[in-house]
Amino acid sequence: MQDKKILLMPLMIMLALSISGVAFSTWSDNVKIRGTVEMGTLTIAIDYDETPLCQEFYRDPDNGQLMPGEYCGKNVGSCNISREDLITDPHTGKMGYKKVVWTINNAYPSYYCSYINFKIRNIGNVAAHIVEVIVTGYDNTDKEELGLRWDVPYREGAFTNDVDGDRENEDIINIEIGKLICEQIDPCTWYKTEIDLHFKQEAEECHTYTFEIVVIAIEWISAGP
Amino acid sequence: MEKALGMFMVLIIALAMTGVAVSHWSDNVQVQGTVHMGDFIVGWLDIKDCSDSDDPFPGKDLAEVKCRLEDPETSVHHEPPVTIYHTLVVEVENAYPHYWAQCVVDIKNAGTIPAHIVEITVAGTGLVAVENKWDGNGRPIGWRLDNARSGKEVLNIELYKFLPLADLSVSVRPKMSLICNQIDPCQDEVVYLWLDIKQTAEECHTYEFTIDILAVQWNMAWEWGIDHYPPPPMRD
Repeated sequence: MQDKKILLMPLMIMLALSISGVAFSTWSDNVKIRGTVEMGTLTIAIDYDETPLCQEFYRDPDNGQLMPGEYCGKNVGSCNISREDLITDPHTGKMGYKKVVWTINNAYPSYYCSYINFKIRNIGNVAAHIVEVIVTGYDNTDKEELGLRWDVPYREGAFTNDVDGDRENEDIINIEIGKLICEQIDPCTWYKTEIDLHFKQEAEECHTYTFEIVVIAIEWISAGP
Repeated sequence: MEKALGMFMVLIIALAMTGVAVSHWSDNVQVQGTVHMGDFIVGWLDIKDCSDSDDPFPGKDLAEVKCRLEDPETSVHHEPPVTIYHTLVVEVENAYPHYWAQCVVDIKNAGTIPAHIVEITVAGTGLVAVENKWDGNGRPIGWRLDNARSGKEVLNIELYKFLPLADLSVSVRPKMSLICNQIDPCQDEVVYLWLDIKQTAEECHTYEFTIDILAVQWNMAWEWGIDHYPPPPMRD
């Protein structure tokens, strides 16, 4: 019985091999699809060509209009804007900056300072859609976060702080940002707006305030209708 | 069994949703701002002179005037730092009618913002202050202090500066009010305080007076009225 089983095993193997052989011997052919996907880049940056500018203003008591410069032609406050973090988009080869550094010196109540050409360029090759503007402020002198109150979300508001210790925040710097949310920037195009600061009477002498504005864009197709 | 299946489905959906959110491409740009606020400090810098009418007369130097500065504040923006004082104390002892005393002091803007003097308030304990002298622009430089009870004159006070000779075609410098005076950062000006005792001042009495000089940032001075807007030196 044992001998019969041993005899059957090579037969089974031979049968299996012969079946395989029939299969391989069938004529065959095929076609292929060779795919290559080059992904785009979503890259927004501060414009490379246009130098950022800041402008001082004062409110003319005669007519309430904002006038360029400082009251009575004096030169008291000063502002300076520079760009940092130069990048080059790897696909398009276009350049831009990721950061703008805005420094205001010797500010005083009723001083107006504007970043008049906040120009964001799409240096990638995917359309960008701005979805969020994150604004934060900090009082470096007192080592505390500044509050932020929006009157018009992401557009008009004020940095606030409890200056007089009454546990209620007072407005110290008004901030106005031109429309950003929902703006779409197609590749090779740009969007320009401005950011305005107005210092209030409650802003404290000799203090140093810092603030950060982060503009976030996503691919336009994910932004929804 | 059904519960386990439900949990699994929820987990799958949650992951799928998370996956969608993470898979959004995004990019950002940043504005980083720093604001250094200025400093507003105006005060007395030093006393240049403190003298009286009987100093030159030996044997008749009966009254004494003493001037000192109090309430110091040091500006952090100056290099080297500058200390100014918010209060000028003038004390007269043994005063008598027709006696006068003067104190010459420097008023300084030790801050970083131009200052504009908008108001001078003269008051006295039991006294009534009445403006009685004005400069060419109609701004006060003199006050008479009367006894509030009897109405009798007690003393005269004058507070002024001199218009610089360079601004004049004449040799006599007129007195100018401190009101509407603008003092730019780091600048100082000489101020004269003069007082004389009237005949109707009472013997053995002690009279106290205060003079408050209010300076505000130059760009807000117009809030104090037409006198301060636009500031005379800049008026076209």
